[in-house]
Amino acid sequence: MASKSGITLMNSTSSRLRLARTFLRSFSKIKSQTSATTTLSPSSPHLKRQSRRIKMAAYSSMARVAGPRRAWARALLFKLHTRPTHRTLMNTRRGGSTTTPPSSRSDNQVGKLRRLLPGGDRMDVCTLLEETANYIHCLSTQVKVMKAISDHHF
Amino acid sequence: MEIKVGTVVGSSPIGRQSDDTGLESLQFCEEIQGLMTIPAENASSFTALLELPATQALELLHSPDSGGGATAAVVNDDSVQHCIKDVPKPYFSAFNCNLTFPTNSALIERAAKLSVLAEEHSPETTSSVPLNSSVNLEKVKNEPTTETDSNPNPLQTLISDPTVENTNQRSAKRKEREKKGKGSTKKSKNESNEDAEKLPYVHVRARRGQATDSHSLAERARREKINARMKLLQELVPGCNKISGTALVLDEIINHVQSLQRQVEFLSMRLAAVNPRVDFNIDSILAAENEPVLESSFPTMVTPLLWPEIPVSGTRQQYQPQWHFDGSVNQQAWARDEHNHHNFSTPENSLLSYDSSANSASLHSNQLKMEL
Repeated sequence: MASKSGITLMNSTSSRLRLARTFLRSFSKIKSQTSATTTLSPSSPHLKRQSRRIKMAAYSSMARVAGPRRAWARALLFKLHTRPTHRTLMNTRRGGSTTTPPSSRSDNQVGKLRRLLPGGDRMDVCTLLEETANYIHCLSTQVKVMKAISDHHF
Repeated sequence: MEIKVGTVVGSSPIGRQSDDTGLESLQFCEEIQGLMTIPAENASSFTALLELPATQALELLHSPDSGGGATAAVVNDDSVQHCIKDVPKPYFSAFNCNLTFPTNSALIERAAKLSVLAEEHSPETTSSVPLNSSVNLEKVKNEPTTETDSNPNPLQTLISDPTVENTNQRSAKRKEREKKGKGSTKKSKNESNEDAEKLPYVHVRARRGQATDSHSLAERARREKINARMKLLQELVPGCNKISGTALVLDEIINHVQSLQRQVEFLSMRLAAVNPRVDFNIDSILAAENEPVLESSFPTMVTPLLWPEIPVSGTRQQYQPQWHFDGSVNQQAWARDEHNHHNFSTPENSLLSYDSSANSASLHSNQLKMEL
């Protein structure tokens, strides 16, 4: 949907429905896998782990709904997929060999935006802005869905 | 050579004719045709005749021109003389070759052929001769066309208009070819640059005072693209419409993205603390978002999400024909996700072995606790 229309944002209702469906599926899965008998004190490591997993599920559902043609979605899925094993290795390697792109150093804000957007360190400015627009749209939709779920539960 | 012969031979009767009858161009043409067709049959004798030195032929050509007071003869001689003046002397042999051609058409066409021939043969000399002389030759070649264009004689225009046009076109084409072939002279370089500039000039407008070379044009197009994206982002980010200035807008966008990411983090914390009800469904959740569109369009979606996998996959099956593309993506990513989840949840599963019924029961109790 989003990739077909190019710059224009995706159809809001259908994307929201898909996002809600995808996220709820993974969310319910997470909830089913965690034990309900454990005490839920807010400082417990169990809760932290679960919140991290929910966050990951939220991001991955976002990326999946956005589709594989979005650069940020691809980068996000790749990051989430290869997170536990390769992350530290990649970080050290990248810090060692390749330097940061020159625009991120000279142009402070564009560099910030690059760091915020998943996969943004490899885009030119034009693509970066376009992907940012789509990313913001998806993120706000995700936030709405999550808010609705949490409001529904409380 | 044949044509020269024709003109040489024909020039004298033309002179007489013009003395007698004055200006009758049509008759003149017909007579010349008749004169020319006869020698074409026994062309070998003419070649033998006209293997004369070129100077004599030129003299023969010049003599009626000097004496002829008639306009038609003068006109015709002029047009032929142009051809001959253009061609250097060694190329008279080329005219001998021309004799073998079966030429029965009108004199006008012959003159055209001659002039074309003369201009077709001259580039050979330009290729052999260094560039400066070739430029001179070009100048020389330019002259006859301009002369014929500027010539106000109506008779000449009647007779030689198509030929002149033909020669003009052909010579223009040839000159272009020459310039492309050379590529080393300054003129052609300048022209190619102009062509390169003209192409993007159509697409991108350059206002007054703006640079028009291709780099700055491309840069301007890129900037316009970026500006369009920035406008789109401004519409997307709330409270960003009134801000002017790229830096401030970017600041606002960055803040918005950061706040959204933080919100996701916070909400995931909150959802982790929440214990899900068994009977929640998408419909009720989306109804809370002030979006009334969904009930009519997706009636099958109201199925509640239960803990076992079967109904979930059932909804997916219903879902797939509508989103083919997305369905395939979902399945891939879903498998990945399952993999992740299994990685994460293995310790928990091993520690706390539970079955679904007990889980749901405990969930209910927990939920009761939380609601209290």
